[in-house]
Amino acid sequence: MTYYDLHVHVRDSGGENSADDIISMASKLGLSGVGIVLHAEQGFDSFDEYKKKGEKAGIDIVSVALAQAKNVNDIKRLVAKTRSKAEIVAVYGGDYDINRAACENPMVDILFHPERGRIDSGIDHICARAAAENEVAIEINFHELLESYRKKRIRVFARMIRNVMLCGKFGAKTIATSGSISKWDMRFGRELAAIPYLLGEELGKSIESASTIPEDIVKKNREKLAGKKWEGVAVVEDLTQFTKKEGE
Amino acid sequence: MEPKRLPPSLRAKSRYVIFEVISEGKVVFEDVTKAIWNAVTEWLGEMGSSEARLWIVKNLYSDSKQIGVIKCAHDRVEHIRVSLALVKMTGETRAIIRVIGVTGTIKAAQLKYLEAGK
Repeated sequence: MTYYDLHVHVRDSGGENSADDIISMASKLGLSGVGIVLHAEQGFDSFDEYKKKGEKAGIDIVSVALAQAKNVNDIKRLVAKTRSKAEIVAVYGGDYDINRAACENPMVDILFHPERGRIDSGIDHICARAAAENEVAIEINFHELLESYRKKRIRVFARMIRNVMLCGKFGAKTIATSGSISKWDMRFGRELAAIPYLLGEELGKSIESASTIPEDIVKKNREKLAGKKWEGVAVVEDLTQFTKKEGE
Repeated sequence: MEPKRLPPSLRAKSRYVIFEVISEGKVVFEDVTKAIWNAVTEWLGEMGSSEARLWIVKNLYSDSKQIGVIKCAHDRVEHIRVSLALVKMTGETRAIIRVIGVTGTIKAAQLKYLEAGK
């Protein structure tokens, strides 16, 4: 089974390690793909270099643009700016208005840690419904659990339980990621997939949240970036197969 | 006199979780055991840990390959997975514990994962 971790930071985006270290750790852990996060304000030229390195190691490198916005208008601007450049567009959650704006924006793919720094879970039934309609996946960030202890970890986990319940109720997708800052924070996809199960998802769905759901989002966006516009319609370069030959 | 062994239908069902330690430096069995027990008791609590029926099999731990086996309750495998994922340090070195497989018998664990790499 292919497992994807779509939230990994490298040195360019505030992480501890270089892309080489992240790729070698991903291949040790048996991950199929890694989403390297760069901030939307940065340039995305380094992604080509990461992709080449990933290809050598057999790891699918996915470009993730992180829109870290101060207000709702900022989200629209950052998302529109990065949509045509990165394979995944994610919004840095935490503020309720930003969480809701991200869920209501069909150009957004993932809402990162909506519960971060809050006393509630960060999303309500309106956000969950909007996320389901606009196909915005809600992230379950393992790093939030790894870096918290006792009372804080219990509170973070309780907020995640609420988010998973809301996503299940309205049919919004959830994505399990490591959210790693260092290569030592990375985990194998099956371990990440166990977290949604403990949060209340069915086992099959929780495994999908680290495998088929991220893979499908990446595949769909790659097709869009390559020029495909509608579901079920493909651009055909060679038309000879459709033309009748002489004598037929 | 000792109590008789329970019939198979009354025995508790177990699973064997095979794990691999990926670390900066070399780690010994005692450090791994301590890290796992700390993570499990912290994550599941004392009651949850007792329900998980955790047992780290000492004679199956390979120091050279850093591969070991944990015996646990059949319905607590996912809880053990998350507990192992929450391990950050073993002894003095940074480490990741990765689950490489789950089996129903110790024989299958040995055949599939422990002897396969020999």
